[in-house]
Amino acid sequence: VESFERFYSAEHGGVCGLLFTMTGDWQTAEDLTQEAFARAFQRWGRVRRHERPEAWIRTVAVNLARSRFRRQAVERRGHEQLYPSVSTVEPEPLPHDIERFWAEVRSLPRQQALAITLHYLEDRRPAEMAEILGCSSTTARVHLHRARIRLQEKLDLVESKDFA
Amino acid sequence: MSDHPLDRLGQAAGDAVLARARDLPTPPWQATAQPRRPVIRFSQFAVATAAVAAAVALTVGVPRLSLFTSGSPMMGTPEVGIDDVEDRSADQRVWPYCEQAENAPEGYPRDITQDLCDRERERHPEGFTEEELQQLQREAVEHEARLRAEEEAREAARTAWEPRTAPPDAVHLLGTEPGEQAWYTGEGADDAESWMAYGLAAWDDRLGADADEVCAWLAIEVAAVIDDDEAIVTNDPDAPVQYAYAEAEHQAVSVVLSGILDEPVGDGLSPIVAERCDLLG
Repeated sequence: VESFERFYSAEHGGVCGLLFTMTGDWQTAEDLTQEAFARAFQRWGRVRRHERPEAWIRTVAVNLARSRFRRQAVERRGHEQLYPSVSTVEPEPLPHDIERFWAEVRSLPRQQALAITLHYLEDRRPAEMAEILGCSSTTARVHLHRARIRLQEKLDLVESKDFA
Repeated sequence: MSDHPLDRLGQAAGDAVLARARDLPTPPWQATAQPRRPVIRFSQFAVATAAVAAAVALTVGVPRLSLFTSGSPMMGTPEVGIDDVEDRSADQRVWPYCEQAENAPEGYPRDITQDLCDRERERHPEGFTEEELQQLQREAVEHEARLRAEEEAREAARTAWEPRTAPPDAVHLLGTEPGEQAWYTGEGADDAESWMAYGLAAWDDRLGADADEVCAWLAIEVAAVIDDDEAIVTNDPDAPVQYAYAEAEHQAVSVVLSGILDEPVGDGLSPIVAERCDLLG
């Protein structure tokens, strides 16, 4: 349990941030974060032996975010009772350009969105992205590249020659 | 990271979110504080149903209830006991399926549970006591173990479904992006295999009552996927397929789909699946 608690403390913020970028909502992000860690806890005997448990938890978190619409109504009722919200006050909105950036990220195809999120949020390398995305490192690199191209267009940012 | 404007903005955006996330109060981990009987969520409902269904199957006379009793990749290990479903006094007589039918959450195949409830009341008008249910559950666990062993043996004989090789025409559900892999790696690792085995067995029965249940179940899952991700079914031989299907919910569903069909599924849902299960309806 101690090792799990260390894991939880170390990864909670990152996972929550990742889920915020995917959902655009802190409350949802927090709920999903709890759910992801609950699943990790249930399987901690196995998860702790993973080479990178932090990648495992992010994969689960991403999956949960993707699933949230599927069973949203039912899950919400469960979450409200299982994991009472710890945040009674919605955090202040982020600066407009930051909010817009993540909004545009969320409008990307989801693998691209996830790749760019992992890149900018946690500075993940393609090999680490690949593990979370469930694809090859090359594919992750392609997703990231395409995401950057599309974001550049959406955000109307000037392209430079060294951009790739 | 380069000095490109996008990189600068992205870096700032990442830092802002991460800082905000880390400023949020991290709730202490209190796994032991979770209620013993949490509200029945979709998955828990199904797990509870699994336990009750397993218990009652032997007496209700449902030919094969492996759909519920063997668990499913999406529903976790059926470890929830009958007493997890609802508090009840020792001498209270109940009809578990009817309880489940009444409590079925939105989206669950209510008609199935209601049908089972009707059968239950017809065959056991006197209902069950807690003690009787516990005994039935013990028998059901043994029964389940036997079924599982039989199905595992059957599966082992099916070389076409050797899990360590990926047939080129493998069927799998994909997301919106061609080539995207199944993604549910965190869930169902324990049960996917047994569920697939059930799917095969159900197909062996050539769409008897149990297969109808499989179809209904698949319909829910596939429809949910379609609603969510506009998922398609493909047999793209170039799509990356990892046949560690025990790790992937979608793959498990796909394996069941292709398993019960015993054929690849091409673009769109298989006409056979669509016809038999009305998946597209």
